[in-house]
Order: sequence, then structure tokens, then C-alpha cells
Amino acid sequence: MENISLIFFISIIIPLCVACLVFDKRTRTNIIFLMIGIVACFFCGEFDGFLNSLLNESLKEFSVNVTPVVEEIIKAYPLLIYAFVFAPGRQKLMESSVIVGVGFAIFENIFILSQNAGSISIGIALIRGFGSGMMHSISTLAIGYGISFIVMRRKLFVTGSLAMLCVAIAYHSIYNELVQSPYSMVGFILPILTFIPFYFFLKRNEIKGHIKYKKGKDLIKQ
Amino acid sequence: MYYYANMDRFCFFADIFNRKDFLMGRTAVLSVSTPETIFSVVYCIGMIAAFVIGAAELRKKKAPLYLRLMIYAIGCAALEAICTTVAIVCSSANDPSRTARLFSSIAYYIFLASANWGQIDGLVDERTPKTKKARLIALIFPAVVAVAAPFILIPLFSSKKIAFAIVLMIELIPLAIGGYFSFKHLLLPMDAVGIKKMAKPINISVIISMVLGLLYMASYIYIFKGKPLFSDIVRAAIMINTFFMMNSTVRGHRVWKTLV
Repeated sequence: MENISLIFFISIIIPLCVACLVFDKRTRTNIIFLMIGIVACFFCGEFDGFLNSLLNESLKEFSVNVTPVVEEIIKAYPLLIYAFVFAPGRQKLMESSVIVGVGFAIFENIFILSQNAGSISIGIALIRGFGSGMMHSISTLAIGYGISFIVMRRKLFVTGSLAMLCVAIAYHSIYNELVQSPYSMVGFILPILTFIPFYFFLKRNEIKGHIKYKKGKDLIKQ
Repeated sequence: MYYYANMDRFCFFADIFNRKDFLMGRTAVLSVSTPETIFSVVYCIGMIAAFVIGAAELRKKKAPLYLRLMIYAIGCAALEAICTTVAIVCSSANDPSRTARLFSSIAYYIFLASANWGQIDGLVDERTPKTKKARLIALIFPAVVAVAAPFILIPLFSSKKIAFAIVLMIELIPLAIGGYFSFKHLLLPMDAVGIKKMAKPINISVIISMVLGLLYMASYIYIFKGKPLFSDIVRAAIMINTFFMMNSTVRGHRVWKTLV
């Protein structure tokens, strides 16, 4: 049998590539980030398999200690390039980081659920959707928040990005540890519990960011 | 199979919730939890409480970035506590080789270093010959870290915990930088505006946290040997110091508002 993850990858990425030709610039950017998330997940899957064969750790040890580091760094990489090369606004950067996380989660869920096709149900799909899906979005959003310091205060960009990357790795690791323990339900609820305060925090900052950005634009025009 | 073999350890929580079917529908058998597990849970709750109390201050409008960075640092310390507690509760042993806790500690030290270097340093250090003495004396802190590092890292490397020791080595860098700036700000002569006076208790708590961080790193050697008592004592001290840090940061912010 062919590599199943490669088959899924091709069948998802080609329609998205075609769709990119049709949409306007803003939607196209979002779809490109969705594809980047899917590519990152595909790459992580292959790279994790390679690392696992090298390290000879148990699956649990590997998923708690190594996988979060690899996945978060790979997810952060396109965002860093985007921030440096295209210098987007803070809001756009945050949106893009969420979309990368969503793309990653979509492909991961498809792959994992298809691997357990005999034992899955709607309930498991819901759990994975809310649990793993939101976890990836939140961790990538945290990295995006750190990188967004490039827009606000360049002096804090390196430290902010590094610190938030470390936070994302730790958060991802906690999630992986919990879902593989008898407290798996706590693990699945954790992203939802984290998302609520994080959402309000961002909502508050987003409004402030917009005002500052607009004021800055006006000043430049004058 | 591994998890079910250690099921009795988790039954402590099943009893707390008074539900025998709390763990995946299985009948839980009550077992006496170890004091370390209880201590870890208390430690975790304490650190989260410190963060929540500090984060409440951020709700107010125009919270300065220094305050935000300090509270983020306390949040990372709370994350480290959660990592440790989750590892203890879920893996039935205080396994320090979980690198996640080290990453949250790295974030903690980066935020502390960033707050002291990026925010305060430009305001309090005029880079004149008058402050040169303080700048040089403060180098004692990174020197102490450099001296302590081999004593911490060599036993870990020799016990084949290579990946863990490498991440620990990375952790020492922001620790040394943050400690240097806090120590320097403590040594600088008092200014007319009062920033240094306001930041003094914060800097003291930061230096204490750095020293405790070093001791915590040293305690990993004892944990690997199966002697967690030293680590627990250090963690208790870290928890108390975190409350002190949070309190002095929030107070400092209020004083700062009156100054400005």
C-alpha cells in the first residue's frame, strides 16, 4: 500500500491549490496559510517518524518530549518568514497563525481518524475536533502573538517570540501527556478552557491594536 | 497497559470527586496518595493563584508593558507547575526528564530578562562612568551561574540525560541575563524619579527566583536519584517567592502610576 498520509495530502492540497486561483487576495492568503498548516502537519508526521526510529523512545515519551518541540517549531517557521518578509499588520498575523493551526489540526485529525477507522464515532470526532483542533490553534496563536511584537516593539520581538514558542511547546506537551493518561477527558477539555480567557484577552487587545494602527496610518498620511 | 497498571495512583482524585466511575468508567480502588503528589497539587494551585491575582491587575486600562511582562513570567512559572504536576499525576512518578517543564522555565526567565532589559534598563542606566561600577559588580551573577553550571550539568550528562541537560543548558542563558540586569538595577544609585526605589523589591524577588531556579536545577540530580525532598523544599520556596514577586510587581505598578 502507498503512503496513506501522502495520499490524503495530495487529495486535500490539490483542490485548495486550484481554489487559490479563483479567490481574491485576502481569501487567497488565508487559503495559502491553511495549506501551509497542512504541509507542516504532513512534514511533521514524516519527520516525527524518522526521529522516533532514531531515538527509540516509547510512543508516550516521544509524544510528550519530542513531538511538541518539532511541531511548534515547524508551525512557527512560516509565520516568522511571513512577519519578516511581508510585514503584515498585527491583526493579520494573528489570523494567519490561527489558520496555520487549523490547517495542521485538520490534516492531523483526518490522518488519525482514518488510522482508527474501525473504532471511531461522532463522539470521538467531536472530542478530536474540540480537543486537538483547538489545541493546535491556540498554540499557534500564542506563537503568532509573540511574533506580533515585531509590529509593536521590535526590541521585544526576539524575546517575545522565543518565550511564546516555549509556552506553546509546554502547553502542547501538557495536552499530549493528559490525553494519553486516564485523565484524557481533562486533556480534551483543556483547550476549550484555555480558549475562553485567551479569546477575551485577544478581543481586548485586538480593538486596541486597531486603534493604534489606524492612528499610525493617519499620522503617516499627514 | 502501562497506564492501567498504574491506575491505583490516580484513584486519589477519583475519591476527591467521590465518584468511583470517574476514571473511564472503571471501578476505582482507593489508594493512599504520596505526600509528594499532594504537595505538587498544592504547589500547582498556589502558582495558578499567584498568576490569576496578578492577571487581575492587567484588566485595568493602560497596564504598562513591564507589568505585563512580569505577569506573563509568573504565568510561565504557573505553567511549569502545571507541567510538573501533570507529569507526577499522570506518569505515577516525579519524572524530571519531561522537557516541557524546562521550556516553560525558559519562557519564565526570558520574560523576566526581557522586562528588566527591554523596559527598565534604558530608564535607569544612563551609561555614564558613575554607573560603570554597578555594571561591573553585577557581573558577579553571571559568573556565579557559570561556576554553578558544570556542577549541575556534568552529573546529568554522565547519567545519560543528554537531551534534558542540553535544554537545561539553554535555560541557564536567560537566567544569567535576567539575573545580571536585576542585580545591576539593585546596585545602581537611587534616582530622583523613584523608578529604582519602586523596582527594588521586584529586583530582589527576581534575584531570589533566579537563585532558587539554580537550586531547582541542582535538585534534578537528586530527583533522578529518587530523592525528591530537596526539590519539594525548593519548590515551596519558589511558590512563596512568586507570591512576593507578584505582590511587589502589583504594588510597584500602583506606586509608578502615582509617580507618573
